[in-house]
Amino acid sequence: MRRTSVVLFLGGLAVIPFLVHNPYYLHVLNLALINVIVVVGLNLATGVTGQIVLGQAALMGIGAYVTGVLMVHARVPWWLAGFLALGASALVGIGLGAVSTRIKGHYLAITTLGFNEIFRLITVNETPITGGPSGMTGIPQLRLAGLRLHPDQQLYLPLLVLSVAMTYVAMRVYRSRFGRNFRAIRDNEVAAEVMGVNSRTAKIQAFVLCSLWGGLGGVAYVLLVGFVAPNNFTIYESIRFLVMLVVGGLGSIPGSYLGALLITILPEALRAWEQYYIAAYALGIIIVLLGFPRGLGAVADWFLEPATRTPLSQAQRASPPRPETEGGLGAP
Amino acid sequence: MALLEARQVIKHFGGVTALDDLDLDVQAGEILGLIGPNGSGKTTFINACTGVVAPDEGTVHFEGRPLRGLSPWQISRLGISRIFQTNMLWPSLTAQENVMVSREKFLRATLPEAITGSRRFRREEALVRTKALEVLERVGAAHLAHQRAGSLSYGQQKLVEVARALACEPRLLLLDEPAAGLRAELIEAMGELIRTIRDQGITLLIVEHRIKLVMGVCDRVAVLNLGQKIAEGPPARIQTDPAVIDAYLGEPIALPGEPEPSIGG
Repeated sequence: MRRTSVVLFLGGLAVIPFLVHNPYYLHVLNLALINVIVVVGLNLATGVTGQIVLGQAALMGIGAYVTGVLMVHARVPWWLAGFLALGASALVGIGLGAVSTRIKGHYLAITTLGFNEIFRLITVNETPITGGPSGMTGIPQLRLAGLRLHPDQQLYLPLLVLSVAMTYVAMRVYRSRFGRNFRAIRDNEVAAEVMGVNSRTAKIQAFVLCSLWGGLGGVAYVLLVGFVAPNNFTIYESIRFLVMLVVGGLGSIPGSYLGALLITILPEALRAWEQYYIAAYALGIIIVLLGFPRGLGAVADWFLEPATRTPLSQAQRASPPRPETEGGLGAP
Repeated sequence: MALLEARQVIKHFGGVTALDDLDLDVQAGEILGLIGPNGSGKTTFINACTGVVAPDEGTVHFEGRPLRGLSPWQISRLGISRIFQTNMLWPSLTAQENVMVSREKFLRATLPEAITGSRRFRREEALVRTKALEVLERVGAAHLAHQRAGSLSYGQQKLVEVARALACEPRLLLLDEPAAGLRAELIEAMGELIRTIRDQGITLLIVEHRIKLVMGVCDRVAVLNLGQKIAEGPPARIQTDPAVIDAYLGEPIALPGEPEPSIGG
């Protein structure tokens, strides 16, 4: 039943471009799918490893700008530019990760906030390369061969596949040796270190994943809209990603999927209410934070339970609770 | 040469001297009890042996290798593991995952392999999952494998913490108050578990306030007071040592029906 619901949900998303022909609606959905990738990455560092990142928009911006600059100034093909942009994102992730081994908690949040602002200042001031405050136009949008559709119609299904794939991979990392180390560090760093987890390496890994997912979102963004500007990657955007993460549930990867969809689409859906929509939107977020601290993750995790749970091994099935352990140390 | 050799270890916390010129040896194969009043430096000693705090002065050698300057995870790789005084399991992980994290040093799959889901990665993950279950079974906690550590009872958490420490395959296991907060029957079960662990070839150092447990399982007992060692020897002698009675035990304790504490091997 649960698996069917997940298939129906994704199937429902897949048929949208065949039913909805309004390019604006599809554009919002495309942005939502890109945000899914970015927020899933943020979740790996902030939700899973417990390292607060307030600069995810800048990491996305690096992916977008590096792709754009390479395509416009160096005439590099889109796939190579995207690949190099991911490399650049990974390098920045290593740097941020190294910083996070020395700076903790709120100080790390402020540091990543500063990183976001540095990125904005560079994009605003390096006009010959970045186009300055008005941004870079004329970046070739990705067009699939033989299709004469609007880019938003062409790229919807590839983005859907990409967002599901990146969520799936993040869930695999979450369950793996690396994800276990991340979660152990979040729950109790000293205990993790004493049990043999190199916390420095693990934090750098978490930041590299966070940057790679963020950078990939940026690459997808620039290939979709063909335009980048500093205003797309401000601290405000970073906080919006954090809102998506928290509404989706800190630490729940499938929750991030729902959180990013909801927080991207909801303001657009409420736009008809004019100035009241911000109030309704803010009220909704407050209700989620107060009433449902696990966010949408509580729902998403339940639907994906058979997939996220560690399967019972052979030994476990072979030995049900033994009677002699009842009343022993293992008993409640 | 002793398995663990601490020489002239000094540790200050501000104006408090937690360890004051402490010499202590743990011999391979023994169960050494470390007792003393609160604040006598027992936990600080364990922290100094696991890289959680760095001694101000003095040296700790494990199998002849100095531990100074090593990070906790490097020390763990050398073969020292521990349980904590207060439960320090990772509450959001299942009991099985808690134990799996401790297998970290045996895992080789890289991050790209985890991302692509390579065959080696999947095989290794399946192996570590089975291995963790085996270790849980060794302490009699296999039935708790899928419960989140945060939802376990106090005794269950202690048990899973022992399993987590054993999963590192240590040669020296430091137990910081393994029986704290346990009911009387459970304390006996813990004593039994400690003997089983020693029989598997693991050397143990136990910090504990339950004198009956310490005297029952330990081959030797060392007594700390104000960061100094005031006595060391077989349990029977420690119980009658005037300095120990004065500083810690209070009065000679009668242990009705207690079997002779086993001494040696």
